[in-house]
Amino acid sequence: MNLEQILTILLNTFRNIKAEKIFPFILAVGIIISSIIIAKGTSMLLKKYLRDKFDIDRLGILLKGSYYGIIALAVILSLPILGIDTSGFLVAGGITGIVIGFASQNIVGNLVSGLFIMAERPIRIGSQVEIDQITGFVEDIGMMSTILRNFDGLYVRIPNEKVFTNNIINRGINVARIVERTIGIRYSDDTSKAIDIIYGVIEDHPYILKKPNSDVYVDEIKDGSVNIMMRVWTPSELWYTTKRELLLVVKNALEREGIQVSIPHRVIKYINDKPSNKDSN
Amino acid sequence: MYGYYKSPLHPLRISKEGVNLLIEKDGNNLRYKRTSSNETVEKILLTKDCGIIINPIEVLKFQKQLAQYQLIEFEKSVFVEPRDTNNIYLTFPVDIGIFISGRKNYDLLDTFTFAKQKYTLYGTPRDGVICKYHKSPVFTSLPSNLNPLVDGVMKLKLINTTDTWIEVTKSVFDSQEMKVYFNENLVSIRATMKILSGKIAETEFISAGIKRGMKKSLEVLESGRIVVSQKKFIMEEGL
Repeated sequence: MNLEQILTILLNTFRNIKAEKIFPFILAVGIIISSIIIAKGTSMLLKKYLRDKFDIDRLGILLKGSYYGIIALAVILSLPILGIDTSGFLVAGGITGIVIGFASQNIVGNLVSGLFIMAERPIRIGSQVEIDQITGFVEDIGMMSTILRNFDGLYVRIPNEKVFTNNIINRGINVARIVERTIGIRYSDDTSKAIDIIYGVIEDHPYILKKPNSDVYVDEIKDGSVNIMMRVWTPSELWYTTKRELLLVVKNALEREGIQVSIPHRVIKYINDKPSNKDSN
Repeated sequence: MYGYYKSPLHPLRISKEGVNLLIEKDGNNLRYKRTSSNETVEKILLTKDCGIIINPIEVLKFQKQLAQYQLIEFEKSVFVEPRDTNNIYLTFPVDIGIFISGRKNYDLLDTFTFAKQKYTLYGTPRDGVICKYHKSPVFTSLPSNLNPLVDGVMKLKLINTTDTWIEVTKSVFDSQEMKVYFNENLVSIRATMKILSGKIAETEFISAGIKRGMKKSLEVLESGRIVVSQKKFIMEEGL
């Protein structure tokens, strides 16, 4: 076959291609190319707005998902233009979707909750939290579950749906927290002096914050003691240290000044004089 | 106390204000020991000879995560005239760094302070910051008779950019950017506080001593321990 014959075949082929046949093809290609551009733009926008809300690995998965999802949608939309009937796909896809949806209801719930947790960020890795009455430190926030290390050092996996739908107490999100402690002194001791001594201890303690102000007051008059309440602010990360130390340093300071911490006791008084031996007899 | 102690150091003994520093020979190496009434720090230096530099450092003590900010509360509040600039002098607590040096390099060996430690919250528990706290008298001229091991002097330039009188009761700084200068008798820093409104001000340290010939301290930042995030601090929670 010489060059002239090849050119003749090509020319005949092009003459046989009709405009109405080539137009849907160009349209489909155009839709797919446009979808790639839109997918790229969407990815860039998502990256810009979600960069601070997701960690880099999870954001990568989300960006790839959205990119390929848009392109896949465009391909499906282009198929009818090329004369390919997609109704069969849609019916099959719909049924499969329903089946998978029922089967994986919890999985999808956890996945969606995971995305919302990552976006809303009520907890962070390292935070001390209480979720569904489980208290511990957040070790990891995954797509499906959140991992805690409780105070006994145990690994606790909580499904994200449970994390998202339960009340969350994040003990470390604020920079300062209150420590509350009560100490009971004897009735015979000078309560005002005890309060002054406690304020002195608070002033000397480096991790009890100067502001917000601490509060020391008589909280209860109990059977055997006058209970003094101490409410002090401390940096959240030193809350436990301060709580552990406070009672001991206050007790030592009070005792140095002759004020004793009350121990349970009962004073019995007779209404009349104590009966003499004679009366008793 | 401040200065460079050349090799051979062993034994090197320094005692000030109840703190004892000792560097002595321990076999083929050196042993560093710091003792005070409530603390003993011991370290082994795997070297036959090294230099020791003692100088005031930026606020970094004890709990490093708490020491990023320094709040200085004024004993008496200061009123600043509209569109005016004025200098005041405050005191600040001095932290002391002990650096080990040798082979054209240095690193932080130990830190301590003679000043009282106290922290406070600036702002709200939700949005505020934990600051190292110090209450300072306000001077209109350079104060004298301060112990340079305990109190440093801050020269603070107050710039009122507003058209109203402003009362200032405190100043908050990002202490990671502190530039400390010292000589035998004085430890100093310079800073500016630009008042932008009745409740907002911008504070910043200036890298200069307040007297001629003062030496710039070695910084813990320079020894590669801390990454500096920003230079200025915006006081948004009141003056």
